[in-house]
This record gives sequence, C-alpha cells and structure tokens, in this order.
Amino acid sequence: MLIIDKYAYTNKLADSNPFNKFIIVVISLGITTIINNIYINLMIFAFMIFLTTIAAGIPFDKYIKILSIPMSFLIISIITILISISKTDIFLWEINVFDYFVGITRVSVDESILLLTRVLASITSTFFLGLTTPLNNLIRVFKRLHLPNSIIELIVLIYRFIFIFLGEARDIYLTQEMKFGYTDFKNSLKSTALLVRSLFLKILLDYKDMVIVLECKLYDGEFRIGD
Amino acid sequence: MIKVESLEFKYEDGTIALKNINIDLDKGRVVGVIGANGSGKSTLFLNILAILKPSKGVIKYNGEPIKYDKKSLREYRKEVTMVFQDPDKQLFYSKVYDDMAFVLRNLHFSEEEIEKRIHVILEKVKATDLEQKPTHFLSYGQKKRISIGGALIMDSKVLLLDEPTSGLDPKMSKEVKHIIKELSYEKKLVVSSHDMDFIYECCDYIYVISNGRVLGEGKPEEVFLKANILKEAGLDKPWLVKIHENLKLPLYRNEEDLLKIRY
Repeated sequence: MLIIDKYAYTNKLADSNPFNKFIIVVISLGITTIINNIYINLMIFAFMIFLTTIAAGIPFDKYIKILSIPMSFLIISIITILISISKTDIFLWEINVFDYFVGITRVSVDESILLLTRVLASITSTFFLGLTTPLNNLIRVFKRLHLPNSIIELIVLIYRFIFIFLGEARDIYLTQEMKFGYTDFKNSLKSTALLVRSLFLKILLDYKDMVIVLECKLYDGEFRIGD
Repeated sequence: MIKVESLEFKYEDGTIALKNINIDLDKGRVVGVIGANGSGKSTLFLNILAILKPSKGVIKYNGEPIKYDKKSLREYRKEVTMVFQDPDKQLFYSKVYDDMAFVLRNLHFSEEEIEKRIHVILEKVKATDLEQKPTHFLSYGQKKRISIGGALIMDSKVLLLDEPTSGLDPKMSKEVKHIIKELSYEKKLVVSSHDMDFIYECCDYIYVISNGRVLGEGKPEEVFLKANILKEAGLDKPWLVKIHENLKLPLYRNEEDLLKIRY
C-alpha cells in the first residue's frame, strides 16, 4: 500500500469537505503565482505545513520524508539557476576559470530565493490536498467541476490498478528475495530483469481475465461513475 | 434451465479440453462441479457463460440453444453470471459502492434504484460497513464478499461460483456456505470447488469431472460413496462420509445433524 494513500484515508481531515480543501489549495496556488512575494510565499508554506502536520495529524518525520523527493529535484534546479558564467566580474562570489568567472550574482540570488519560496508554497499546497483527501472524495470535486468523464474514468481505473500492479510486483520481489535473488549486484540485475518480465506477462494474462469479467458485468465501452 | 448437450471444446492448438459433456442443471438446486486442477472445470464454466464457444454440441438455456450474437449474449448474461475465483480481478473501482454499481450502471438503472439494491445486497453479504471503503484497503475475505455482492446485484437466474471458499478462513467459509444456502432458494447455483466437505454440505447434485469428461454424477450421498470414481478423479471423500464408512455411523448430510444426534 502506498504511504501517501494510507495517510489520505486515515488523517484527521480525511472526512472533511473536499471542496473546502480544494478551494484553499487553489487560492494559495493562485496567490503564489500572481502576487509572487517572498514573505507571502513563506507564509503559505508555513500555513500548509501547519495544516498537513498539525491539523491533519500526519507525522512530521514522515511528511519530511515524502517532501524530500520533490525537494531533491528542486535543489538541483535551483543550483543551476543560481550559478552563472560571465566574462566580466559581476558576481557576489565567484571562482576564476581561465578567462571566465563562474559564480553567483545578486540577480540570480534574488531570483532563486523567489523561485524557491514559490515552489515550496506550491508543493506544500498540493501535498496538503494529496495527503489529506482520499481520491474518492477528490473525484467528487472533479465531477462538480465538470471534468470530462473519460478523464475521470481514467483516474479511477489507473488508481485502482496501481495497487494491483504494486501488489504483484511486491509478491514477485519478496519471492525473489527469499530465494537470494538480490544478494549481489549481478544477481540483483538478473532478478530485476526477471521481475519486469514476469510483471509484463502477468499484466497480459490479467488483462485476458479482466476482459472475461467485463463481459460478465455487461461492460459496453464506458466506465460509468454515477453522479 | 441450462442443459449442456454432448459438448466438446478444443483449444486453438487442437488440445481437447472437454469431451462429450452432458450436464443438466435442473437436477439440483445447488449443483456441484468437482474435479482436480486442470480437469476442465473452468473451461466448462466459461462455455456455460458463453465466453468460449463449444467446438461441438450445444448449450441450451430454457430449451433454446444459446445464440452467440452480441445482443443475445447481453441478454443471456443478464440471466447467467459468475463469481470468479480471484476477487482482485473483478473489482474495477476504487470504491466499494461504485464497484457494486458497475453492472447496474451498464444497464442504465436509475441512481436511486442502484442505491436501494446495493443496500439490500450489502446486507446479504454482511458488508454494510464497507460501502464507502476504498477497495484496496479490504482484506481478501472482504474482497470476496464484495465480488459475490457485485454478481448478486444483477439478480440473475443462474449464478456460477468458481472456488468460492478458496483462500478463506473458516469463519468466512462458513458465511459463504450460509450465503449459498440462502441464495439457493431464489436462484440456481453452480459451484466448483476442491473442498469436498464444502461441496458435500452445500450441493444436492454433483458432477465429477476428470480429464475433460464427466466421470460420474448423482446425489452427493451416492457419488461420494463411489471410491473408484473419486480416486480416478484425484479427489477425496468428505469427512462425514469417512466417519460413516469407518466408524459405522449413519451418513449425515452436515455437521449440525451429527452433533445434534450425538449429544
């Protein structure tokens, strides 16, 4: 089971109105994009952390762990924005490489900080929605927003099959591990290849079975979701 | 109801999976189909469901041979449906309610009617507390309940159950037995299983299948006394039959009868 999904269903705000949460998130996303002020961004950032960890009761250490995944990407991209190369010395801090200067400029620092706070605010906002709202409730929001049915269908089905897929992958992985399939590097590579192969075959077989079940359930080409 | 007449089924590669099968589902209210792994039970079920088309022979529903065009099949499958062995493969939605509603929405039922039916069925399979739960949070037994419920909701005339008790704990098996008993008053049931005790208690007519052929048939108290048939099919006797033969006790149909009389 995915940890994000587990929290979405078990946190203290899971049963609260999904529309309110959705609106809060949309407004805060709107503010960070339109106003784009460092202090307001930081306030949103702090507010969202407060909502997710204290109001919804998601353990702080787990929250940081989940946040660390997009954070690593964020830090790498910020570094590339921060550092610039020029022939003239316009830098706050620089190193000299032959004829060039490599370093950070006043402008790049300002820009980076602004961008950093903006991304932090947006990430924590979307994480607040994702971590505290069960997908089934979000779907109610999507329906209210009149998202096309085929998109909602896709979300519903993909969401369901992620868990079947992960479950099967986990089962294969555990069996391989019990048979010492991941003891050294060479073995691990082989086992991973086998895992991918058997998963692929399994999916094809499962698909065949699924078609039969769909026939029995009188499927006619559309997954209906009701109102 | 459903009659299978000299049915033969060949796979594309030419292997014969079923040969000269004659089955009359009118012979019992709960008909058991037993056989070892690979004996052809599932293929037979898929033929009865008209998912597979027999190479020879016919399957008659209410005296008429099944027609294999799209429209007739749709009508047929409203009357004849199946609960598959693996519940994970028959749950499509991430919410129990939506999954139960799936078949009814395909038939364009109104949402009020759907809600009414779902409540009745959830009551029947003892899963009212699961209505709003996400499917992937359910235990295997709970998924089984929902998949049985998802088949019941259509209110078909015939229900096939493939291994309904496999992988279930004793309590849940007992409940499935109970559900089958209750259902047998309202519809025709066909059950396949490896659990001989379960088949012995639930069914009132049995077909023994081995290597794609019908090896024997009859009432459970007759079939299970024929040791040679069971041996050839790779099956075992139910424990009630064993104690009848070895301890010289009368042949009881279920555990309750035995306990009632003994104590």
